[in-house]
Amino acid sequence: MNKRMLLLCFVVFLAAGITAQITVRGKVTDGEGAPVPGVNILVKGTNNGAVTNTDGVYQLSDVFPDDVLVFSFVGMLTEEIIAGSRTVIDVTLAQDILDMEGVVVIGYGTVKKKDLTGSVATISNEEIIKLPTSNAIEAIQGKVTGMDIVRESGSAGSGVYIRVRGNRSIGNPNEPDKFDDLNEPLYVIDGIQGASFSDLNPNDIESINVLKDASSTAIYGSQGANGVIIITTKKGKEGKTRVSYNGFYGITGLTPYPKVRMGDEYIQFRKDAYSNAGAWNDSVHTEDDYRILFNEGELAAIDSGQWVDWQDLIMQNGSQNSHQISVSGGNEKTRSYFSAGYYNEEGIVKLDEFKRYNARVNIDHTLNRWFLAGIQSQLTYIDQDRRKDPLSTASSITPLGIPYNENGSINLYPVAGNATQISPLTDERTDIAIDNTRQTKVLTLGYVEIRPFNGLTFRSNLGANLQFSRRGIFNDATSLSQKGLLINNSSVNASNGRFINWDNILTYSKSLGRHNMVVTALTSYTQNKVDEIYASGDNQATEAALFYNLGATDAEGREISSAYVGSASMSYAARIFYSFADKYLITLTERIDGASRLAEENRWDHFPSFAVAWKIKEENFLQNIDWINDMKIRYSYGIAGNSGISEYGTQSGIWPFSIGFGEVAKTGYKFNTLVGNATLGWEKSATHDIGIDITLFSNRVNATIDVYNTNTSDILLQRQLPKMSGVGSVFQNIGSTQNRGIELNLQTINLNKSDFTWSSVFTFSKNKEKITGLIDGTDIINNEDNSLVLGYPIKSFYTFKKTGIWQLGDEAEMAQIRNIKYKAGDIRVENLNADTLIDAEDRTVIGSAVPKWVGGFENTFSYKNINLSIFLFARMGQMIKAEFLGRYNPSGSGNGPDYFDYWMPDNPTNEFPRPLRGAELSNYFGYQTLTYVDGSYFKIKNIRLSYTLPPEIAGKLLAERLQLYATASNILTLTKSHLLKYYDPERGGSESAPLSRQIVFGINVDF
Amino acid sequence: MKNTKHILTLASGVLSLFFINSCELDEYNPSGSTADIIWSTPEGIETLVNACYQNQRAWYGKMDGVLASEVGTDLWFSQQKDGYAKEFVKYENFLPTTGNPNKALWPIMYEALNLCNAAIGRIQDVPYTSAEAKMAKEGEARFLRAFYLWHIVETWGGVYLPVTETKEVMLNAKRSSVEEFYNVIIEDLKFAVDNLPIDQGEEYTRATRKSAMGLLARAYISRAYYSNGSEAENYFTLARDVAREIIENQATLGVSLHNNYAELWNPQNNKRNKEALYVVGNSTGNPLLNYDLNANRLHMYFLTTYNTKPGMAISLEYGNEKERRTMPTLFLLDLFDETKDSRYEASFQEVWYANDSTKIPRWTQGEIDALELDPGLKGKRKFNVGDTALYVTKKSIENESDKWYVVVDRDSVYNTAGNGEIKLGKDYVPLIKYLDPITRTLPGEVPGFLDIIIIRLAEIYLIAAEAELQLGNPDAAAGYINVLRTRAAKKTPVDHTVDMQVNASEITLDFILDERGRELCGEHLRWFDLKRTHKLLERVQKNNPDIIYLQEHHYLRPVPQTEIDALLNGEEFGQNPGYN
Repeated sequence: MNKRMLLLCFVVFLAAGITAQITVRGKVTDGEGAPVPGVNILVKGTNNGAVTNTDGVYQLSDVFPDDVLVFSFVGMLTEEIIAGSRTVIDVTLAQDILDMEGVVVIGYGTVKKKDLTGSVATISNEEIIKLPTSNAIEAIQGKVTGMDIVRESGSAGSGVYIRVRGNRSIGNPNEPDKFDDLNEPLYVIDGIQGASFSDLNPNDIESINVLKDASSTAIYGSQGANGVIIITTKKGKEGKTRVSYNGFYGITGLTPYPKVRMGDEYIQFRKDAYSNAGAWNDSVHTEDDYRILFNEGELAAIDSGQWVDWQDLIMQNGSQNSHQISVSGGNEKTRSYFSAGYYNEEGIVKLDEFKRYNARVNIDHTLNRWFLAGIQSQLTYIDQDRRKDPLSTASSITPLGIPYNENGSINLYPVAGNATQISPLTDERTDIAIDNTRQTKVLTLGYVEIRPFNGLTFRSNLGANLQFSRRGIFNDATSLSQKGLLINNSSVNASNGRFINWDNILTYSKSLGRHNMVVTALTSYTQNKVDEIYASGDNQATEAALFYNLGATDAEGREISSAYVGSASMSYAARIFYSFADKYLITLTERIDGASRLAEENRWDHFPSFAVAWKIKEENFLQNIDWINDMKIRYSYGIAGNSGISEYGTQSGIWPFSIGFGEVAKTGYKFNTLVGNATLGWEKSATHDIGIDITLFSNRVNATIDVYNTNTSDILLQRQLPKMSGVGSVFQNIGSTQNRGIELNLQTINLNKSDFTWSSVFTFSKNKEKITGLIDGTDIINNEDNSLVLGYPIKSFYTFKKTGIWQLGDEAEMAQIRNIKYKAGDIRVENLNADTLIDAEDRTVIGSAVPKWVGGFENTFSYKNINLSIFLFARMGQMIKAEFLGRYNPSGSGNGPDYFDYWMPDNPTNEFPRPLRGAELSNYFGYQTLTYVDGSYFKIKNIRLSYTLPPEIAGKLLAERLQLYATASNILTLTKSHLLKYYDPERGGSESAPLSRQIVFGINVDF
Repeated sequence: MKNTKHILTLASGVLSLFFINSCELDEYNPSGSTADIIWSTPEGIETLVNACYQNQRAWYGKMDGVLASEVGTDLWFSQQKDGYAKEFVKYENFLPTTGNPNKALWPIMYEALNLCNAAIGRIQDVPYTSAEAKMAKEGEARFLRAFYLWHIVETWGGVYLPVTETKEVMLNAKRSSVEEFYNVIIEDLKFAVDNLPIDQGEEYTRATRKSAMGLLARAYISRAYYSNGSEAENYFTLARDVAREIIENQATLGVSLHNNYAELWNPQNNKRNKEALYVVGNSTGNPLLNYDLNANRLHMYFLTTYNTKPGMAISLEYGNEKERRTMPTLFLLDLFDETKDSRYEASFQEVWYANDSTKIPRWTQGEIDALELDPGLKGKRKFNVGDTALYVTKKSIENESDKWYVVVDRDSVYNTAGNGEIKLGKDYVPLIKYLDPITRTLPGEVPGFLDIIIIRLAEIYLIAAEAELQLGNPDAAAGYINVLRTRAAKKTPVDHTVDMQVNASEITLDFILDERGRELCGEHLRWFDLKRTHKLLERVQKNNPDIIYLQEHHYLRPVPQTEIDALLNGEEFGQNPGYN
């Protein structure tokens, strides 16, 4: 590095004598060939300079050949070039990954990245659209430290699971679904809380900022503890009107999924099951004796070779289709951005489809030098069809029969003579199973901004989020979900939500000498109201009516309900940012929250925080160290809240019943068993965060390291009360958890030639989550999946520890266990207390669903107009409950995955127990342990190749910029456990809607 | 700068608007039915007071209530319930962790108590247009609170005494003394007496003034035994006075004795029974209005087996005898002189008439030969429908086997040669006070919908008599008792009214307890009577030889262990003595 500089100086020195002045012209482009307007070009050490125009072209006169031209632009690495004798100097500016001058969006304001005192990650639009997906958050998996993101399922339009720095809230073990809501971060889209990122078209997003430490999130008070994700949409810019088109088409398929036994393997397994039961002997029986093993229907099917690969018939190639057009531009008065988008995804099973239509309008208008107003508005319409996943049925039923009738229609009962075995394809028939959701969402925000004098800004945002949704379900008597019931069922669920958010923000900034101060004061009011109505019924007279005529269902068993849920909050917050000499920074924040969901005497709570930062680089002793460009140490401490309390949680619910006095009917109301607790407060998380930001070697190495410790207290837990209180149980603020972790983000430019750059981004997050307090310090043991054990993460698995399979020769050891009569081939679990019983005492925490660490590694190579990036992702140390492992069906009837290594007298494996005719898996003691498996994986998440057309060629196509790209996702996944080799563990263990591989082709054009 | 000022004014205006707005953080929950919303109007309070009535129906009309208030005394034994409730039947292995009825009744009583406390607390802030209506509603809640507290204190002693609704997480509890319990009970009942209406109209199963007076009399006399000397005298006086006030104002209060004892128990007279001061009601028309779909099951518990006997089939008239739970002790049967006292026949059944011809046995040749009967009888029925088929009697019968029908006498049921213990608990004389052939439509039907009398006028006479005795006025006591005995006396064929009279010299506490046995057996009072008079041990040991584990500490039932475990100060709260 320094050598190059020396060389440069040497050349300059040599050239000093030549003095002919020339005029230099040229074009400045970015890494992808797009022109960069507004670049400053300055002759080093002089005032002679120029600026590029909208086409990125500049012209600079009076240049001496030995002059050094400095090209600088916000967000790009500054380039210094010796003029030489050239008259045309074209320059490509590389993206400045760290972008110290760039602004970071923090709550209710922005701050220059260099002045940041908290832990905030920023992702630009470029990163987001790199991975073409339906939602922006999925695209940033592995790119933000401390943020654990996995896709929820492989079904069309499915969302993502997100955790910022672990789980804090425990919730009610009996309501596992609610757990995810409790630990979900807060989303703020253009200043409006509570809207869904998945409604946005990723192309409309300007940036995503993730606030992680308490000093950053405390400004969101009672809602901040799970982290805050701030999404900012694009705005129009002054200048020429820009029209862009972004589109992609993708194919989904080659889904890794465990194949089931077919043909000889299927027959062999049944032989083994029968032979272990003493009903089959290979040395005695022959093929003529197959009727011992199979019934007539099966035998006939085997004889005619009617093997069916149900999975194959069910799975198809899915697709993704996205188109978005945007128009942006403006003059000094009005700037606007319009876009319209369409996204369509078809899943890997039929009838699984997601369609989204978006339209967005963002307008900013400057009335005069002190008054601004604007609107950011979006309409989203979603039409989604879901299908009850047939894969579990396909994986467990006998692989025999006739799937289709001669006319090509689906054969309802594929095995002749077996009317209990309905075809997993049944729902594919027209109007047999419909589950359709239609949602219309309006997200709109209007603002006025007043700047009465320099330094003071008042802004008032009024936002609304309106949602209307209808889900209609119809299941025919012959549908998969009604099998066993054999009557049709229909239901409709409609909801209408109104969310209003009104923020008023006063900001005052002032510099006095070396003192710098920004004060923010704000009020924030939110109100949320949801109406819901649900109706369902059985046995609708006319099936063709689907769910549109519930009045024609049987009166008995009809269900109707309607509900209203409303809440409001009022908050006041203030933040003071102060810096001295641009070296010592301090941020103080206090938020006071009032919430309707808390009881009157407890309604208000406050959330303070502070942060300090020291820019060491600015100190004299580092001034002369060239290779350190920047260095800052941060520390923050603060308290943020968790929204663990749901609406009406403090109120005592009561329920009505009928009671007679004489023969007069009256109504009585009694307390619910779960009573309200009027003293409920927020769950609170106190976080210490120490971080360091370093930039080295001419901005080519940037590193951010954070270490944090979050202690969450006052967690809500349900407690059984003495019956003499007259009530049953109550939620109390009595639990506590701890999350400690370390995060590293390392960005490097490994090579930076004019034609070729190679840059890397490495992220590493390690979080250790544990429960530190429960009611009276006692573990709460329920079943395997929802026990709470002190010292372990919330989502831990508590059961026996499988050590293998009992083998022939182990008889003496087996006999030592008095309460279970073991046989060779049974599951062997660890006898933890080494007594003579295998019982509840021998259960322990065998693993947890939270990963020990998550890492991402992206390498981007640019050669001229070609850009290649490869993103690797690893999620390690988590355990998953792989449902399909429980599909091991030892009886030999039905079916199961074909690669399971099962015990036989001549195959002393330690994986699966012996097959046995008539046995169910649950007959084997410790069978639960089979489904839990180390879910660690490493995957090549994404490979992206893009080509930006040279401007001349693009110009011929009337385009300013044209980029073509192709991506391949989930290409290769390596799992730690060999049992998962045919399964993408990112799915988390569910056997329905597995994750697939994807190949996407896309185009981005600017006109 | 002018502009600036305007803007700042505007800005501060907007901000201040918000400060005003901030007050509106009250929760609105129309669909969720929360206490604060529903119970804020007179109509809402009524739903709460209605709920207060609910749990008494879990005690009265169910097996657990019978076990907790009648069984385990000198009157009854329950061979059949030995397994489920041996703790109540014979005090065997009665521990804080055992005794399912004990564990079940505790939360039922306390849940109701909390509702009563909620009602009494919340009604204060609810605007009523009529103060009288408000006081009357509060009177119902207070009556019910006293009702539950009396059951709690008499069953478990001086345990937890909450008088306000549980609104916070309750993890600590302190005990209150029995006296403190009675202070609340008596205050509540005095309020109820002063404010309850005399008549509740169609809704007659609600508490009325007479209900409150009756329970107050019961409370006073119970309270008297917890004190000595002048204090006791004071409470006996109060008990006597209330009882006397009821007796003397029968017409005003709308209560009177039936002319004869059988009429009292005639199911046709069950609804709006004129002798009742308070009933636990069951609706006949709409089963959904009752505590549960089983409503009143008392009609089954005291019955004996009959439908397996020759000539007998299960019938509405004789009742559903599938759940035979409770049989009388020999002592109970012998309390009666059935030749003079009509209460025996009205309370117990000895004869069943054949009702199923297909089950009547026929004469065989062997029998004809052996008994030297008319040969023409061969193959003929031994008796006809309407003839006696079963005779179970407290009498001793010679040569029972000579009868064509089945005879079970006292000697075959009880060890009459020895201590009177039960030989076989299968056949016995059943109590028939609760038989219900009218609200049930099928013989095997379990739910019955008759009302259950909780306090009736006869008990008031007996309270008056007991109080007078304790106050040293056996004459007055005999006077009250003779009113009941006059009614009980058989009038035909010979009028025994005079024979039945007792004089002052015969009146002792034991006599009163005997008389209560004759008058009130099976009416959810016996255990409390023996406990009150501290006669449980003595009389059980003397009269119920099947109960062998009874000890002094059984005067209280144990606090369920789970309750002590759930308390943070469980150790301090402590278990009732003798159960550790």
